[in-house]
Amino acid sequence: MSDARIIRIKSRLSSAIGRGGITAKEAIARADAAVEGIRQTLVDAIDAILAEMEVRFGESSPDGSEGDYEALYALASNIIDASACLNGSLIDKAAYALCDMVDLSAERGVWDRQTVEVHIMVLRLLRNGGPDMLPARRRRVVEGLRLVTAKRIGDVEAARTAKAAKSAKGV
Amino acid sequence: MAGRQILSSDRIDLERVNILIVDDNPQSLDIMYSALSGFGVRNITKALSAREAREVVRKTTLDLIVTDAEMPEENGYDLLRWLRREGGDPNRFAPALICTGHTRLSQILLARDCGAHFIITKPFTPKVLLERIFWVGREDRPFVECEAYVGPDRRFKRLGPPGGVRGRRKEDVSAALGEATEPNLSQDEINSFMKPAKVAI
Repeated sequence: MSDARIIRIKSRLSSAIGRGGITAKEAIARADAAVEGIRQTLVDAIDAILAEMEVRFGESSPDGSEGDYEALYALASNIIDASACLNGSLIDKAAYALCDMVDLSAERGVWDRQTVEVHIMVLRLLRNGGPDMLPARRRRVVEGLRLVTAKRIGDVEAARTAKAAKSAKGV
Repeated sequence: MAGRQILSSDRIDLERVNILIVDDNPQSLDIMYSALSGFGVRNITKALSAREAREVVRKTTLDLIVTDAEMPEENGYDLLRWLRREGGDPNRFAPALICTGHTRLSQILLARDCGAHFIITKPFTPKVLLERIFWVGREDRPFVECEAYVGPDRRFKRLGPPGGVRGRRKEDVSAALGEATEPNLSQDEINSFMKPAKVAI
């Protein structure tokens, strides 16, 4: 085991805290207002990402992007990044579930088109749901995504393992 | 102290600090820029990749670095790892926050070992970002430098070693407490600790 060196550093940031300037309340209010100013840009960005997702990976997409984990993961991540503007929609949670699913699928070498499509449909549903879609329903829909992933990815993997075992036995 | 909630009346003056924000997603960079501007930060440098960020680190004295974790060519974890080991003075020990929307299974250890002060989960609100800035500014965590890790001491919660494991700190309680060296307390003695008693004042 190597020796550890302990170094004490006084950061310049520490002198910015505690005196002068503005209050935390004021800072947060100004920042909230500044972020609200770019809200529409963020909403437009989410719509564009969702449209791209549907074209490349949705129900009516060709098989071209099948297995492109990285591209789908990047699109879902970008939705999470911009989703602060749709607070309460739970679109970030659905995008997170999609990231989880893609990560798990990539790790196991499984690509289940139906699971991908369901995630994209739920993202669209949450985006278009508007205020009529109650929070409890939104939560149930997102929770459903986790169940779909657990079941479908497990099923696809099990089927693949069974097929491999059969062919190894020459059945 | 890190971890304490900020009070509405806490004060902050970020006018003169230099902050570098790194994210390959322009929208994400815009959110961060807007929030920091709202806090009163005037010197914010944007970088769209780890490569751009390295150039800034080499040329500018930074008071805070906020980087995205997931970036296509080089991720934020590797950027911070480089910063802590090869970033050079004065930025090698600069406070650093890492932002992530989703952490891949394969990157959990990278996140733990990269040398960031705190992780911010996306989508974040300005309140959370300000809270982390307060935490970083208030804390007095030393840096640890060894072969496997360079960064702020990760043992800041002072939870002690896991059960049954011998701690390496002087103040860690021994894993085995050993046999009692004195007789057990009687039930009366135990009761006397809890029994209310009249006190003459």
